[in-house]
Amino acid sequence: MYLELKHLTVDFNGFLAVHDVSLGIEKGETRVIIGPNGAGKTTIIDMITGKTKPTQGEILLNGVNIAGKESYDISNTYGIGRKFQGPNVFDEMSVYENLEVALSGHTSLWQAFTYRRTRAVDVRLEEILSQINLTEQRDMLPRFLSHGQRQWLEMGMILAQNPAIITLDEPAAGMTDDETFKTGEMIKSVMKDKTVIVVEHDMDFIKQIAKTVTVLNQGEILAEGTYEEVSHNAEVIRVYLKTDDTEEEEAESV
Amino acid sequence: MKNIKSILENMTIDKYIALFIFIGLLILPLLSSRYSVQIFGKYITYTILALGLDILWGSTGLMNLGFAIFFGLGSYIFGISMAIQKGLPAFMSFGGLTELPWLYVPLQSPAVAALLCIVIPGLVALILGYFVFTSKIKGVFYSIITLAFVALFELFITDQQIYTGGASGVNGIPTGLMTLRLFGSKISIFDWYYIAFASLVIIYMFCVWLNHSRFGKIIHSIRDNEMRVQFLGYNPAVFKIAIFTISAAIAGFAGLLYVPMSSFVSIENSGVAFSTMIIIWLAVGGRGNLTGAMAGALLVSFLQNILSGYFGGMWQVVLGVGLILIVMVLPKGLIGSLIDWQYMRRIHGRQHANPGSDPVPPARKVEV
Repeated sequence: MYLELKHLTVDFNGFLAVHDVSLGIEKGETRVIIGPNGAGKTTIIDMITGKTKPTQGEILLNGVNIAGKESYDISNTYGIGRKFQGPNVFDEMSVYENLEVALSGHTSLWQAFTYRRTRAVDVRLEEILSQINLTEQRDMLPRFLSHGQRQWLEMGMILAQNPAIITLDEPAAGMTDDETFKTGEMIKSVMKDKTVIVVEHDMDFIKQIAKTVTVLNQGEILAEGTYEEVSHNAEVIRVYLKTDDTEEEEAESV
Repeated sequence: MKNIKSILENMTIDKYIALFIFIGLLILPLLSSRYSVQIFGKYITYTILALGLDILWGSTGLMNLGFAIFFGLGSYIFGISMAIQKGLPAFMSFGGLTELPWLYVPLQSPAVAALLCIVIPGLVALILGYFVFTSKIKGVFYSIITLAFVALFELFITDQQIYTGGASGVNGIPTGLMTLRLFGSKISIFDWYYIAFASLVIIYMFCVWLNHSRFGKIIHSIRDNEMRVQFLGYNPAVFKIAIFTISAAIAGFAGLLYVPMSSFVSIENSGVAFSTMIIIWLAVGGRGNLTGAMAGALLVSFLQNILSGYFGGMWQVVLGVGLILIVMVLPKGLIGSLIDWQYMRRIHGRQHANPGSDPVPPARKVEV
């Protein structure tokens, strides 16, 4: 097993955000984690990327326990990248510069002083710009981009970072249907060689990208399987899909 | 020629003002008295000091309430070095010392002292920075710690009278350092003025380069979104320690240059009050664009001089009211507001030139 979460528990002053979760992810897999609000999805991403330290349990990457390490170490040494919930980019720098700062292999103090924008760097960044459909917005400040474009910019930053494992926290949140579809295709095409962990709500989007889906509820794993299996699982329908549908219906009726 | 023209057209307003400041300072000694040269020489050292704080506060977002420590270290080291050139200075012999303390022996060489003016503040900042930033002290807590440091420094200097001159400071330093010889000739106050001026230009260029380098982009990113930076694989503590050290070394060097301009070193220019003054310069001029720091330092120091002439003891009140007004009306400072104004004008110009075009403005920073 490539990435293995073993009996992870997070206790926030008595509130068990995640309780005894074990999860195995193969190399090159795209895994989607779904679940209602408060199910512990983001907390799991937080632990994998070093933002939150698990109270108990281990996170094994190729057999090495990375639980509790600093986030920059996890990103640098272990090659795990993260896209935050809601676009989290640098608003005072142009789109191109955002990608440039994210570029991997130049993260030490010494490299920060000796870095040169070489031809190879430029070619790479232009390639990423076209992958995320932002070539024309190259010199714009991110705050003038649409919400969807900002999400893509952050995806681009992760591509520039070039990690082995990519974690995406609701990459399609707040996007139009068209943008959501494009995002799904982006994940399937440019991230196809990577191990990708996605936290999502949007069922169409999940159907588009996922082979294996893990369903969380109240900090525990409820079901795991293909999209078809999970979406027909009676328990899942009861706690998650049904409530989601009724919410949607309510939203539509409003 | 065309190249120069396009450079001038693309220059932002802050660069023009910086150029104006440099030209003004360059020709000033030709038009004024020896006294003004000394006064403006002092202001030049203040602008260097302000640049040092700007790369720390403006570029990295680390507001330092005790920045004068490093200026003080530089000026004390060089001041004591000058004071001991002709035997034991008065404050030491009155204190009961019969020979030079071993710690001060290396300072007998002005060259060594000059080097230490940069190295010691840098080293102190490196050590302080290491403890503060690796223990992840952030925001207002960091600022309060810097304030505590400067208060301690002030206490220490005042307390160690035999070694530092205490509350009355280190005096007896010849103005313009007539005792100091460089390649056999005496260094006059005019020479020192131009040494300080050249240093200012070089340090300004260095800061511009720093802000545009990858290092600069990383410290800007730390200022704007520290958490995001960590997840990209950068350890923010390392970069904060680095910029803290660089800015302290610049401040120490400014302290060195201050000595010949004032011929007197005291806690007045290294304590809590002076630290606050540096903050005021940057608040008035604006942070993060370097020119604001320089303009703020020059303007406030100049006004301080004029106002104390007109209003006597009341000058601080008049200056204070002015400062409050500026901070309230122009929170980005004078230069910061000018940059914003020019930016908005350029956007409107663009839209006017291509009506119906996309009204989305380009990036503010036009870079190669």
